[in-house]
Amino acid sequence: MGEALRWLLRRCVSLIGVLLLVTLGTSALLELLPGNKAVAILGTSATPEAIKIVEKNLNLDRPFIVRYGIWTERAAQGDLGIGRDGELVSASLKQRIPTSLELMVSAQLLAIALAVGGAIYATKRAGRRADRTLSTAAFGMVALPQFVLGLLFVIYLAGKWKLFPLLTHPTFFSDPIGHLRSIALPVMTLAVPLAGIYYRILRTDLGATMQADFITRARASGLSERRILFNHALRPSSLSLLSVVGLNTAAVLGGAVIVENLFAVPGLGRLLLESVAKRDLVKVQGAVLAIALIYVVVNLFVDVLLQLLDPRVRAATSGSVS
Amino acid sequence: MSPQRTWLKGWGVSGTIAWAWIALIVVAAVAARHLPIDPIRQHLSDALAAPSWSHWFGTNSRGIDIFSLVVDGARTSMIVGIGAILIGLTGGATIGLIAGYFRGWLDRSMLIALDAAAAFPAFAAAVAAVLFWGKSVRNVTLVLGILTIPLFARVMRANTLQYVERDFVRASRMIGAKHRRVLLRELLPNVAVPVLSYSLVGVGLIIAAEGGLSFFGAGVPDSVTTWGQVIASGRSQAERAPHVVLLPALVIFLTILALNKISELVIVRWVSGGVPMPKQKRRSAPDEPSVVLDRPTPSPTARPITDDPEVAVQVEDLHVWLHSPFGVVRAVNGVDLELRRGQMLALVGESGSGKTMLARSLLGLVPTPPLVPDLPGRVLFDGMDLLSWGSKSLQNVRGRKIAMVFQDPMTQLDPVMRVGAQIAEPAMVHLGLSRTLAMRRAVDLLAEVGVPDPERRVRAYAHELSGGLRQRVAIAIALAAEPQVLIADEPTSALDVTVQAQLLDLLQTLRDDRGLSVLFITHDLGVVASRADEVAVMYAGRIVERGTTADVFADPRHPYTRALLGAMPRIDNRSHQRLNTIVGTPPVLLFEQAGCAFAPRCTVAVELCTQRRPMLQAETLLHYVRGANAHDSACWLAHNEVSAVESPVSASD
Repeated sequence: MGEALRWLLRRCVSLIGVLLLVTLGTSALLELLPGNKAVAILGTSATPEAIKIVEKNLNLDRPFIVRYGIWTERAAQGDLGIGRDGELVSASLKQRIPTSLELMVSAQLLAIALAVGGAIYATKRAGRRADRTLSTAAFGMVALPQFVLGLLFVIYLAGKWKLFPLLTHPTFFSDPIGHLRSIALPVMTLAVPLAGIYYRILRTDLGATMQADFITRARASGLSERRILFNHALRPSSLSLLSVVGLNTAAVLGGAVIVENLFAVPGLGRLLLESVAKRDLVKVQGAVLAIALIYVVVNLFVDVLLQLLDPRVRAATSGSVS
Repeated sequence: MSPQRTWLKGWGVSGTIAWAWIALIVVAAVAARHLPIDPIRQHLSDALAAPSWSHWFGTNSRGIDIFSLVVDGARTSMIVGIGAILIGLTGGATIGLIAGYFRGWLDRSMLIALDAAAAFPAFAAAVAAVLFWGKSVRNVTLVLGILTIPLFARVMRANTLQYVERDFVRASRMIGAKHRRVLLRELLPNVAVPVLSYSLVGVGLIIAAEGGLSFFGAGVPDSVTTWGQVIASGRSQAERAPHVVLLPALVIFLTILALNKISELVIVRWVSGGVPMPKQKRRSAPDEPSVVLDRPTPSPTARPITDDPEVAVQVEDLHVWLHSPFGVVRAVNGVDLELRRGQMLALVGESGSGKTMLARSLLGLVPTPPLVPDLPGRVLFDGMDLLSWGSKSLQNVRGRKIAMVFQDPMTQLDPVMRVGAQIAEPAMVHLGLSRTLAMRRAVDLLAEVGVPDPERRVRAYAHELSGGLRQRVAIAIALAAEPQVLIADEPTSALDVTVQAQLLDLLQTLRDDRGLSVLFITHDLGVVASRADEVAVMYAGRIVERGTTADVFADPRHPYTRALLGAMPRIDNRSHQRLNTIVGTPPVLLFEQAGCAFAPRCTVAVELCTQRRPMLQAETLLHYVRGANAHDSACWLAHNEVSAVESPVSASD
């Protein structure tokens, strides 16, 4: 157990490194943006005195790295600053994070469910028509750009056939079914390409596992194909899928901007773009931090899950000297 | 191999269509300016017209012909796609190759950087960057390219890691080749194909991402056309006139689909070394001509099913043929074997002699697609022919009546399941034991097969055990459901000699204590010398000699058996005496040979041997008269069909 704890600690340290790197990178990118920031905030008609004051307040007169240091110190204490609209950044994040998380988690779960169900179904019928059809379908799902898919959903499912509402967003507690209907389209838009990717990964790994010696041995023990698939093949085959799911966290959160835009969902992605457009750098930094933080937490969770699923990883991480 | 020719052939229907589509797009991209299209003229009276003969894809809100726009857009979409991928490929591949090759702190810091890149909302950053730096083809390409670098770095690193530990790379590092040379000469050529294949997928990703950028007004400037832009600008009219969006979307969809398909086929063909995989047989398809060409004729000696209580398993005229990329492999050709109850029968042969296929086919473990169905042969067990059984009914025999242990101790155990659970499983499935009882049984079985400290070891994983212990675990799994027969397929070949002997002792003990009938498969005649009750020697899918161990060792009849015995190192050999080895290699079992399969390697073969195949049969009466022991062999010389004058006597000892 001591080793497991040490591993967890090491993992946490490297994930904090990831957080620092992401925020530092964002600061650096923002620094690279052309134009004087105080001028961008106040407008070109601002007096030099006013500019001075703003620069002072935002520490714009200090070197970049010092400013980043100050920001980090405050962020560690939960103070993410105040946006240009006078709103606390942490407050607007608090508003957006649940929406984004709900979208991301639902989309990931839906994609995983589709992929796992499909891959098991296809593996049982390896090489037959159902297998080939599913593999073609997965190809198609990956090949459809998100904005096209979303647009098609808007045109047909919401517009022409009126199956789902577009502009109403009741909360889950006031109208559970209405709420689910309102997030169905954005979730589906996010989930379809993911499901295609996940299906292909899992189907390939399952196919390879089913060729493994220990599967033949399980067959030689007289176990049913069903039992072999679920008890022996699925677990070692799900490892790469799981890592990819973790890696996709941020892409789904940040990449949801298209979906949030199409379906008017107030999430982190939109906050990010709105803030960029308004040159609200404090908010941009906050939104990036939120996304990175969620990514880090999800990946820590995935790492722990991988450890539990694969004793070999456990041995490699806890037993290795270097 | 001539890669050029096989490379072009056999992309299949979908691959050919994919190539054709990409070729079409490339032609459009290159020659758009010279094609009779008009992406500028506004047919104002014809705005939002549905697809028609004069406007194939209809017109948009400004009355511009959408087909012309799409053809014109191919150019910039492709430029952005390929350009960005070139940036990402160059940057990412360099980083990934270096990190994967040098590893150490370089790799670790790059992994953190990659993690950071993955945690970074890249798409939003791309939108922001293009908006700030200005909408231009160059900026869009540059931004998307830079954001692709981490993806390529990851793919390149993973592929490099696969090769860094391979022998040829280690060898060239060991002999002191310069890093640059190893990287460029040894590694790059090997990782190039998967990474290039990934680039094709990448071009599709970029085309889609550019469309996404256009959606936020952060794409290419309005003076330039891309597919994404055509769709994005049609967004507001999409509900009134879906064709504005649908048909350009279809073009993007088909292009990405084609790129992904080609990418997949490139990998498949690379992995299979350019050899097209055999077409999988559709279920219950009528006989394919390739299969019917020359089926073996059933042996006329097939007897009615007898129920001899002394015989555990009887194999009669067994044929196992397999489809392979090179043709039908005749792995087993009419084998007769008798495994007697409570005895150990050793099946000896070189690799490629068909012994493993024989063992697997006894339990129906050869998968159907490569297996040629409906060949003659029976496997009699308990008065039933197992070969006529389906997979479902065989489940009640596998593990419960006849169990099996495989060669590789590492790969035959489930890597992610505790060994105790693996032992308990067959007991639960076949004997209906509860989990607790089955686990207790697992401990007992581990003790019985000689695993020290079984209470602790039931909780171990395969990778925590030594090869010998793993093989003992495999035997415990095989014994879990109290089978009567154990098939051991080279269970000791991967282990060192002392462990081999211990395992053989164990099998012997199990045979004696449990009355287990053991079919022991090995390539090492020496291993069976003191332990097996009977020996069958297999060559090229046929039994060439068969008898009690004592008889076969005392008086080997077949030159192959004699050669195998001669190739055995013996403790009483004089030192520095050369071991006799068998010259040549076993035949490829793709063709039916006329004579004795061993004739080409046989030192005593005569002309008859290459013309007619000797049957497996007992010696003629003469041997009995001479008082020699009697066992079966398949050799003209042993049968005394060839006169002593004709046979070169000198070769026999």
